Amino acid sequence: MPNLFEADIILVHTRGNFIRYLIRKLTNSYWDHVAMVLFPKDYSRGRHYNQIVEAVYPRGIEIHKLDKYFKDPDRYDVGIKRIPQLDDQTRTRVVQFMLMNVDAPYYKGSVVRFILAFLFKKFSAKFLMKQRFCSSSFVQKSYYDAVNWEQKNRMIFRNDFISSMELHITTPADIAKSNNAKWIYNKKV
Amino acid sequence: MKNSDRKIELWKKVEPKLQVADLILVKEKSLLSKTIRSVTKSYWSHIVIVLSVPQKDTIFSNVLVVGAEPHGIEVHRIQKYTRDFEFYDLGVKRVPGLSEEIKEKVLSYILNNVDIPYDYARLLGFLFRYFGHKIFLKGNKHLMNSLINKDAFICSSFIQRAFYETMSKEKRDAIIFGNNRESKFYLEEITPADVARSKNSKWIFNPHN
Repeated sequence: MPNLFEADIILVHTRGNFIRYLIRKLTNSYWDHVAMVLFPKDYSRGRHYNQIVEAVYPRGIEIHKLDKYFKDPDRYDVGIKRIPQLDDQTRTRVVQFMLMNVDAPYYKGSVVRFILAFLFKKFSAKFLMKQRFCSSSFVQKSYYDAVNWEQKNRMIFRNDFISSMELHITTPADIAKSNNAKWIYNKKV
Repeated sequence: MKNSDRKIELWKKVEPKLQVADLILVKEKSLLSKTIRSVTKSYWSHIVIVLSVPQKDTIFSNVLVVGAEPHGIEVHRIQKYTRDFEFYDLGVKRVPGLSEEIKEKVLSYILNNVDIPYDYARLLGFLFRYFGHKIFLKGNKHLMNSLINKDAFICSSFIQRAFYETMSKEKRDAIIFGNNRESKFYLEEITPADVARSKNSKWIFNPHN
């Protein structure tokens, strides 16, 4: 695995979870969850683990070790993307934004709606234009809010136009497929 | 003025003065908290440590704390406790003379231990020992010792370890919060009460033993 930087994006594929399966099918992607690097490993400072921040059901935005995913390869697969040409100041702002959101609540999706969207294509498009994807929208918001006005367009992961009020519909698939973030580990779309 | 409103006003004055590695003692209105307070004969039942404070010239403007919670070592906003002064009461202690280098090491230790599980067995051990005293007039020390899992923490043992492991060997004595050094597990048996009573940390706010 490459050395990680603050604000690198972690994509997660989770096996054995029905909702995660539905998310992958609905968004036509290998990935179903997104986290972000908060404090990368730094032996010189005595930090032996990569710390990530992520939206976790049902408790909300939490800080964990990235190892929680690597320790269980039967259950999880992990990919990593990085926003290119991001200066240190912006990375720090993204991290600070993430830190300010620790404990923010998780917005649970309706299982029934997920199933309906899975079964009926017509409903699926409408559903995806409204459903909040907590993990990926948190990452999207962190980048969007942390950069200057001139850079904001470069930080939107969806390809269609959405306003800043609609950033919460960004899915893990949008981040995986976006050209605004480059793959540095385990490229899968 | 309601008691909780008075506490909010007092806290507003204290929060801007918080520093990284300050110790926040917590009293809750819950049965578990009441039991711990009764067992340890203390006003306090829980402890967390300050991970970060608002920094000048940055957008970050909050206080984050870390503690051993039911799911393990976790980071939370201070608002988890300050939002409800009807339910919580808080006190603040500070270990004097900590250099920036030591604070950085304490932070690294804390971050390295995020996600480590809470040691329920040890908590049970404390309760067994207490009730053992009550019932048999003798402590169940062996039972307590057998229940200690050194790879897990309760809130106060986590904080004790954070300071102990980051201090140089010569300075470690100045950072042990408990008095019972004869015990093999004197670092593991630290309770919030020990931290509250220790002279190795000074009260900044709301002193109670």
